[in-house]
Amino acid sequence: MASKWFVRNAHTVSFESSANDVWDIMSRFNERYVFVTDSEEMGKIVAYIRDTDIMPSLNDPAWKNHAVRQLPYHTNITFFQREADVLDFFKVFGEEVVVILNREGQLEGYLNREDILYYLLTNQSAHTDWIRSLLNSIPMGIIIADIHGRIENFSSEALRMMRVTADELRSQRVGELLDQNVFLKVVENGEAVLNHIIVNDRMGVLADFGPIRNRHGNVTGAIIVLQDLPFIEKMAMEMEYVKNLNTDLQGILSSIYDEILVLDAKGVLLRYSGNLIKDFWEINKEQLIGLNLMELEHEGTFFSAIVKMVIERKRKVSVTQESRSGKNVLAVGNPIFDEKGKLERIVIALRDVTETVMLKEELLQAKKMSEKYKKELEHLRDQKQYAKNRQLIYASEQIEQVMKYIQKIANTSSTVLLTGESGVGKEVFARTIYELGPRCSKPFVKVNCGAIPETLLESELFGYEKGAFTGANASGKPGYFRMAHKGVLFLDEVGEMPLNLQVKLLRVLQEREIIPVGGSEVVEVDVQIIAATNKNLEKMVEEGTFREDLYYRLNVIPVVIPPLRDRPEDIPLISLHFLQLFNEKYDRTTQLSQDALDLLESYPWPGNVRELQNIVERLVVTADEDLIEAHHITPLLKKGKKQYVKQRMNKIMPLKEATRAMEEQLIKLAMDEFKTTSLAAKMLGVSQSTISRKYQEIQEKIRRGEQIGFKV
Amino acid sequence: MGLKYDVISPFEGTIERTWFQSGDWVEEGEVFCTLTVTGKRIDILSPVTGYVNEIEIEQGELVIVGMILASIMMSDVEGGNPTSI
Repeated sequence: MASKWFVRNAHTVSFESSANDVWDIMSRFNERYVFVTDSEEMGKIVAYIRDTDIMPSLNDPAWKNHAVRQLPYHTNITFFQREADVLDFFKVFGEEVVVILNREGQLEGYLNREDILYYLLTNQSAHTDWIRSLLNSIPMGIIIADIHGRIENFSSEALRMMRVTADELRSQRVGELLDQNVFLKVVENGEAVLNHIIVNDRMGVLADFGPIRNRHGNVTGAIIVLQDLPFIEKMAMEMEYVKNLNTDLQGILSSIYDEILVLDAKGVLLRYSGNLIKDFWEINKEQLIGLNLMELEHEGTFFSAIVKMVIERKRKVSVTQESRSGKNVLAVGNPIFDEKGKLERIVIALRDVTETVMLKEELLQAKKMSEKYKKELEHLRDQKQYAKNRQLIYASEQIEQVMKYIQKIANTSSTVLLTGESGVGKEVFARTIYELGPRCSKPFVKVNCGAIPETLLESELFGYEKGAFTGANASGKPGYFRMAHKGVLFLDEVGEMPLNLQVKLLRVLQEREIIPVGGSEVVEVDVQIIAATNKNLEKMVEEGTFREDLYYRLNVIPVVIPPLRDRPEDIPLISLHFLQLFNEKYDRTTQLSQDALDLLESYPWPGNVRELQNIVERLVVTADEDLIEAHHITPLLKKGKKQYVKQRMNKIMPLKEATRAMEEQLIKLAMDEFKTTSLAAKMLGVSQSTISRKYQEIQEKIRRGEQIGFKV
Repeated sequence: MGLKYDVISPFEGTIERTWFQSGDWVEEGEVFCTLTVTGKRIDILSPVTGYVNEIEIEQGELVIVGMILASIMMSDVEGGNPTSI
């Protein structure tokens, strides 16, 4: 097919030929181009001469003799093989002349621009819509529209620039897409509008509008050439983005609960948003815009202080403030910096935290109350537990008084001195004080000062350093004081403490510090001392066996525990308690008869509760029958002088018998006490002879081994 | 979830010393930080017992009245879970 091309004959001259030869060829063959061969390059065509170039010189007679070398010639020649296909024509499209060579490289002829265009237009084998290809190959958007603005043709670049699809573009008119006014100007007046900038949220382009005229010069449409304006487009997009952002921001600000103030770096209020905190601002906020918050007088120094702090610290500052109306406001100031780190804005978020603060406060109070109740509950439970286990059992007024006193003093950590006869339960009281007191969760350490050998007492109390003496524990010993740190140290039998240690104890009580045996460093201790003794310390002080200063140091809160005989109403309770305890212990089911209880109650209990406990234990262990009667008990009790005094009237007996028994008891008591009948008679308010006679009878009765007084 | 309580400065002054770090256990009434107010030293106490959540201030910094110095996450037991509300 290629061989069927029409090829123009190429006429050649050499550089040595004259201008006359060239013109001769042109005029003879009506040729626009004459080619020049170079003899130095084996006669190859190297240049061409255009007819329009030499026409102006035709009138110059001298010119005709000029050599070709002196004529204006062009060397931009494209060579083309005859076998080339249609695609090659696209490549050479636009060239002024194309020289065609045959397969051997010899000259065949040439084609000019129109020939190639003609070929491309007429070539049936080209499936490509070449005009479209042409349009598309240009990096510009091209739109061809009719006079009404209907789009007839466009390049794909136009779609990209305008961000529309082909269908969208076809369905729209130029005026809607670009600029109606400009378009009308072009089609109505036939003007060309160049470099018209169109920027909207979709595109940013530079548009050239040109009218299309028919051969009569009437405008039949317009061609619009669009060029990308990348920077303008970017700007437009950013502006659009910022616009959207602003809308979002406004939405966000108006829907949050906080009040937001935006200040510049100097503290001038630029804008505010969010909900207004009622009663906080004392002037209308709108009036504040443009004012420097640092200079505000109405709002006090609150804002100026925040602004100052933010500027100074260059980081977040949170401040709370209570307004005059009682509102609690939290203000959080945040600095905003530009890229260079310079303070640009200060944003202050205000929040009404009145409720939160109130609730938190209430919660704290409630928590404290509940903790208090919990403690009290635990305390009560402990007390109940204590009553069951620790066994402070009483019904008497005396112990009730003591307990009331103990409860009063338990909350202090003062030194307590418990005095009372042996066996009244001083340790039980000491524990009660400890358990009711604030140190109940800390250790309770008991030291029996009378039970530890004098030589060891010091190291036991104060501890010793390792290697303090031969036989000492290799790692040392903390000592009771340190063991009782923060707790209670119960010094039982404090009256038994040797004098030299009394000095050291005094030191500890005064200085609240100890020096362990063999140690050189002072150790601080915080202990509450509860001391107990059955001795009369006052008397010991007089005798010089107890240091006076230590006595006063210990005797801060004296608690005297009355002996059991002074509170007989406690005896049945305590007896029954021990009975139950030992029944459980020895797996028995013994009971005390009323007689037995009466007898126990009447006994003076020189050994106090301890003695009672021992008696009950013995009874439980030794009883043959389950019911313990009075006569089981009698042999166990010491025969004391006042054995019968406590006898009470609690059963019906013949009046005469009772009178006699009481008489016997009283006389015996009086005689024991006063030794002489005359004194006894005086005390009893009867005559001496009466006493004398009755006492003789009693003595006889005793001699006979008969019981006097009430029968038990 | 625990509840946060703020340690608030009652005065304007300079932080002389902070005694705790974030994450420390602090008991109600313990000295949280010491403030110098016109030459006088003033101890600021912890309002609750719990864990130090956030400390906003550093030694030598100026503070103002009402400023939140730190927040403490209230908790009952050291090492235990924060108080559940």
